[in-house]
Amino acid sequence: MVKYILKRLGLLLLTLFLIVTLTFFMMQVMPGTPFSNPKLTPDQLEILKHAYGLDKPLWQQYLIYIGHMFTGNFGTSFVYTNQPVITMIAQRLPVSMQLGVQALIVGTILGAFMGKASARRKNGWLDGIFGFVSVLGISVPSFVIGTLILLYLGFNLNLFPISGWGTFSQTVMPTLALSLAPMAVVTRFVRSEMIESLSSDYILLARAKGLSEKEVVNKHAVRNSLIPMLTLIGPMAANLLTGSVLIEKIFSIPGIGSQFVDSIPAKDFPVIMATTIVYAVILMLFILVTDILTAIVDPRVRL
Amino acid sequence: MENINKDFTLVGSKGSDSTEKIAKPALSFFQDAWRRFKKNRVALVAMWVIVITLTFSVISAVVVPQSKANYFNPNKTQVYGNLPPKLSGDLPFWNGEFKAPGSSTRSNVYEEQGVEKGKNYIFGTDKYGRSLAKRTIVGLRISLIIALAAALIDLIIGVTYGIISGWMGGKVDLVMQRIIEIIQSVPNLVVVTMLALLLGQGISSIIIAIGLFAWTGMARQVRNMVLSYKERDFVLASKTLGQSTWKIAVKHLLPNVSGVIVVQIMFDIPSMIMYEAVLSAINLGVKPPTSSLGSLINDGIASLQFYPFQLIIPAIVLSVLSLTFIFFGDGLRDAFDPRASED
Repeated sequence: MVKYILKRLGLLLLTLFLIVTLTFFMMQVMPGTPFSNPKLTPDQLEILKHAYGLDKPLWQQYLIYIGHMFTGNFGTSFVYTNQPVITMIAQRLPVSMQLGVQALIVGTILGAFMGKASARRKNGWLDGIFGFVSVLGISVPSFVIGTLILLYLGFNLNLFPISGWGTFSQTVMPTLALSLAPMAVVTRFVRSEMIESLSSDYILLARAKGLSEKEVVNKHAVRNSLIPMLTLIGPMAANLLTGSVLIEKIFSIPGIGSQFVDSIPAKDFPVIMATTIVYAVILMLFILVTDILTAIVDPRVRL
Repeated sequence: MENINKDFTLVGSKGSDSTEKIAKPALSFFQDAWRRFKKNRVALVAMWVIVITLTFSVISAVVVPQSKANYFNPNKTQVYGNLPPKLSGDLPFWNGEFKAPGSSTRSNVYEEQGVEKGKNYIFGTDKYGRSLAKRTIVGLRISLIIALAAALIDLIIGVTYGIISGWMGGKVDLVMQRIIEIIQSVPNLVVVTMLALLLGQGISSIIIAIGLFAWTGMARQVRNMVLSYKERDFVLASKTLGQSTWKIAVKHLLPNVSGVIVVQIMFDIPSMIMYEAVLSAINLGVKPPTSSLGSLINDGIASLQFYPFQLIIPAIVLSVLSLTFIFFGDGLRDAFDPRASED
């Protein structure tokens, strides 16, 4: 186990290094510069370039970036002068994290319940309704759902504050919009897992032992259906963070996603790079953790 | 007795070979899959919707060219701008009446803005007075072109990569799989955004951006299938008979893997349609006068508070489109692999 985790962490570092290298050089070939203000004189441009170290040869810039990265220094933003990128991210990441975690919790719990109910009343009307809802959750993009929620719950019914961040009620609508997709995926997944386990031999045995239906379902079927769900949650959690880019934009939430979107047209390279790195690290860590958790929970999985 | 013998023929009395056989007619893999697919009614409907949509998109290219959907008269935006949907004056909800922003009662916007009599926009118009119906038709076409072309790139790279990785095995496979893992650990949105930035705006660059990142799932699926098939007896027999590797790949592996490939493509297409929409929503999609479903939705979001129909129509088209591909893919998966079927 320990050997496996160390191996995976090593691979993670290698991957990260490759991602940093790739994005760094991609930034260089990208058209346009952040300093495209026509009012800048060539002299001022030189000063700016010197200040950000952009006048050095490319390989030196690269080595400097790598060196700084290890000390947690991701440079300063081109757009927000003198604002270290690391503090910008430190301010905004928790916001996105909170939103992502809330959506994940709501989505998986609702999804698990709906999947369980669907599987127990297979082909019944409840199954039909939940099936329809989960199909909607998969096919309607979250930013469309988000805007519709904003329009009807926010503008028309005035139930929740329309935008901003800080109070819990402000997180309700974006959480709802974000949680629909994971809820749909979990519902479908749990349903098919449950149907499979309900028809397996150990359920037959449990029934033969005279356990009540409730015990059969909750103690045996549900438990065995939830374990494979773990493998879903890792990528889903990371997706929620990146997927919230548009939701953050719609609800004007000061998260890392809206920062990423803003930094693209501004060509704020340090911010784009740092965000990419943060996203990649989160994604890889989530997948690693779920792999480890699966191994702990399910003894059949050997690492 | 003679009469009876005339009316009845005794089964098997002739002792012919044909009556000895009790097997069902031999079906090829695809015939068998089609037989199972037909039983899934939802998937069958989805298939027809896709066929109709594709035909419609091709035909509409003649009737509604892009220039027609983009054209507007800058002097008349007051007259034609932001009209609500209207099919005919008699229908209760589709008669051009609308609660205009700021007012509290519904009124006939067509009359107020002085639109010629008999001129109806069934999906309404946008703020420049362009017909939303035309723009949605063009948008649907462009979104489909982007998705299908990106799927083609996905197909070519993914299948080739998967076959090479699975067939070579060993160290090559190890390295190739690590490369896939690295690509997958960069969040999709970031990759697509970067590529879109790198290649510039425009339909072709979006296609390349989406196609270049989306092939990893395909490559993995194909590799797994190749790994399991390459040890089978018929491949070994082929090898023993001195068949070239290339021919084995094309003649033996590809037909066996094709089911997985088709299903994977059907699941990839809706996510590509979605990625196009996301790119347009963060202003990295198609260039402005051109409309795609994503850019229409993005425009709709901007005017949502006052003119919700401008968002809802392209959003419904987008959702129905991805829905049909998902259902079609589901049906295909069950047809190709009956064990995966739930019931």
